Amino acid sequence: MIRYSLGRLLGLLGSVLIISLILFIAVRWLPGTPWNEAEIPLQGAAKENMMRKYGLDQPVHVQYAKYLWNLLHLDLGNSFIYKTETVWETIARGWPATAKIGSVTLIIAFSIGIPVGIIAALRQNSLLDYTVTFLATTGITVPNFAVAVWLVMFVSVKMDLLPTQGWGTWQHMVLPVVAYSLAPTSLIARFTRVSMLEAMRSDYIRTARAKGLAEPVVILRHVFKNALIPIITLVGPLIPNLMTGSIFIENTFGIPGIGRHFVTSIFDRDYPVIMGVFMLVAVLFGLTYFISDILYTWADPRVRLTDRKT
Amino acid sequence: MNSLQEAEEKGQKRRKANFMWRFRRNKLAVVGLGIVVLCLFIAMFANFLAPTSYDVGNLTEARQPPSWSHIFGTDAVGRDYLSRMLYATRTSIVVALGVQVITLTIGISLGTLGGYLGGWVDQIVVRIIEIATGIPALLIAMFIMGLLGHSMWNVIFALGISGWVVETRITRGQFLAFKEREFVIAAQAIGANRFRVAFRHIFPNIIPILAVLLAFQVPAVIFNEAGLSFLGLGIDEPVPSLGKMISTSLGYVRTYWHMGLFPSLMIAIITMGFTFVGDGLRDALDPTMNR
Repeated sequence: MIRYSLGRLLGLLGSVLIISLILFIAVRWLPGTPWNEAEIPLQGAAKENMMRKYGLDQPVHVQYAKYLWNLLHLDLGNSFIYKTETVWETIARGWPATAKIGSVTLIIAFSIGIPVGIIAALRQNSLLDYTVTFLATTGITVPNFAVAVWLVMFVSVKMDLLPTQGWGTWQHMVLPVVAYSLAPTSLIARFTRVSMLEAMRSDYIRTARAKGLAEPVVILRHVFKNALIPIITLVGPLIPNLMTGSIFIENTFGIPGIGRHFVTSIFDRDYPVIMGVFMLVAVLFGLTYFISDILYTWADPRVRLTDRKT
Repeated sequence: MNSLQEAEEKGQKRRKANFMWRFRRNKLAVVGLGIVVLCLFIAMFANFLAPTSYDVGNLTEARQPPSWSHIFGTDAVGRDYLSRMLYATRTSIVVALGVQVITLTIGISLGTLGGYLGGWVDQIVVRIIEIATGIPALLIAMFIMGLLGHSMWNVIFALGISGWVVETRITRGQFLAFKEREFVIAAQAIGANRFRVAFRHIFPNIIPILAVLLAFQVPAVIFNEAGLSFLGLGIDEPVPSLGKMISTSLGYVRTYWHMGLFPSLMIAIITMGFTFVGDGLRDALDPTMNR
C-alpha cells in the first residue's frame, strides 16, 4: 500500500513536470509578448528592460530551470498584469467564490442525485423511471450556460425574484448553483441508477433475500454499498472539475471566481497566472484520482492496488 | 457461392435487421435521428435556407422582436436572427465533425499502437494518456485559443488536440480485449502480418463502439465550441456561433428576450438530438446494457 502510494505520487510529480515543460515551451515559442504592444508599443531599450525585468531575455532552458526552482519553493511567481500580486494571491482572490459555488453544487448534486437514482432503479421501467432517465439525459446534455440564460430570463427578469448578476448575498448564489448543479446531479442520478440495477441482478442479492433479510436492509446494506463502488470512480474526477470548472457560470453571472480570472489571464497572456492555475489543477486532479482509487479498495476489498495497468 | 458464405451473409442480414428493430423501438432515438438529419441538412444548405447572408445587417432594423419579416427577430446591428442561427448551426456541425476527424485519428493511432503492440509501446501510450488526463481538456483548449487567436480552424485544432483521450482509451481497451480472441490468433497463425490483423480483423469489430462514442462526442464538442465562443475565446464576428450569440444576448436580457432564447434552445435541441441517437445506438448494439 505504501509502496503503491509512493509510486503513484511519484507518477503524479512526473506528470506535473511534463505538463509544466510542455506549457512552458508552448508559451515561450509563440510570437508576441505579454504586453499589449498594439496599443502601447514598446521599443528599443524600454522593451529590453521589460524583458529583463520579467526574465524573458534569457534562454528558454534557463527560464524553465528558474521556474522549476521557484516551483520547488512553491513560488509561482508574480502576475504580469497585476504587478504587485503574486500568482498565489490572484488564485486566493478567486478561490473563495469558486469553492463556495462548487461545494454547494456538490452537496446538492449528491443529496438529490443519489436518492433519485435509487428510486428510479427500484421502480425500473415505470413512468417515474422513464421521466428520471429523460430528465437526467437532458440535464447532462444541455449546456449549463444555456440553462443559466433561461433562469435569468424567467426567474430574474420575468418574475423578478432574484438578481441577474453579481456576488455577495445568498440570493446571488441561487441561480448559479441551480444552473451549475443540473449536470452533475443528472450524472450522479443516472450513474446511481445503472449501478443499482447492476447490483440488484447479482447473486449475492438473491442470497440476501433468500436468507430472509428485510428489504430495506437488502437495498441499503447490500445493493447500495456495492452500487457505490462505480460511483466513486465517477465522483473522484467530478470534485476538482466542480471546484475549478465553473468558468461559464462565473462568466454568466459575473462571479469573481478562479474561472473568470483564468479567462482574463488568457486574454492578457498573463503567463505566470496561466501556468500557476494549470499546475494547481494538475495536482488537484492527480490527488483526487489517487484518493478515489484508494477509496475504491475500501469499498471493494476484492480490488488490490498493484502497479498501474490501466 | 458456397453455403458457408450464404450462411454468413444471412447472419449479417439478420443482425442488421435486429439492430434496426431495436434502434427503431427507442422513440427518443428516432426523434434524435430526425434532429441530427435536420441539423446536417441545415449545415449543408444554410446558404440556400437562410433568408439573408449572416453578415448583412440593416441598422434601421436593429433589435427587432420576431415578426413576419424576421421570424426570429434581428440582432443588435440589424442582422436577420434566423439566418444567423442557421449559419451558426453550420458552424457547430463543421467544428464538431472537424474535431472528430482529429480526435479519432489520434485516438485510433495511439490506441491501436498501445493496445495491439503492448510492451513498452503500451507503457508510453498509458503514460501519455495519464499526462493528458491531468488537466481538463477545455482548459487546454482555452489556452491554445489564447495563443493562436480566434478562428474556426483554430477552434477545431484546439478542441481536437486536447480531446482525444477517450478515443485513445476506448480503442486501446478494445484492442486489448480482441487481441486474445480465437479469430485473431487464427489469423496470426496462418501468417497474416500485424498490420493486416490489426486493421482487417480487429478494427472492424471496434467500429460500432467508436460510432457510439462519436454520437456522444459530437454534442460534447458542440458544447465546448459554444462554450469557447461564449467566453470570447472561440469564433469571431462576423461568423456566427450559437455560444457567441448567447453571450451577446446576456447584455440585452432585460429587453430583448428573443436574442437569448432562440440560440440557447437551438443548442439544447442539437446536443440532445445527438445524445438520444448515441443512447439508441448503444442500446441497440448492446441489448444486455440496461437503460
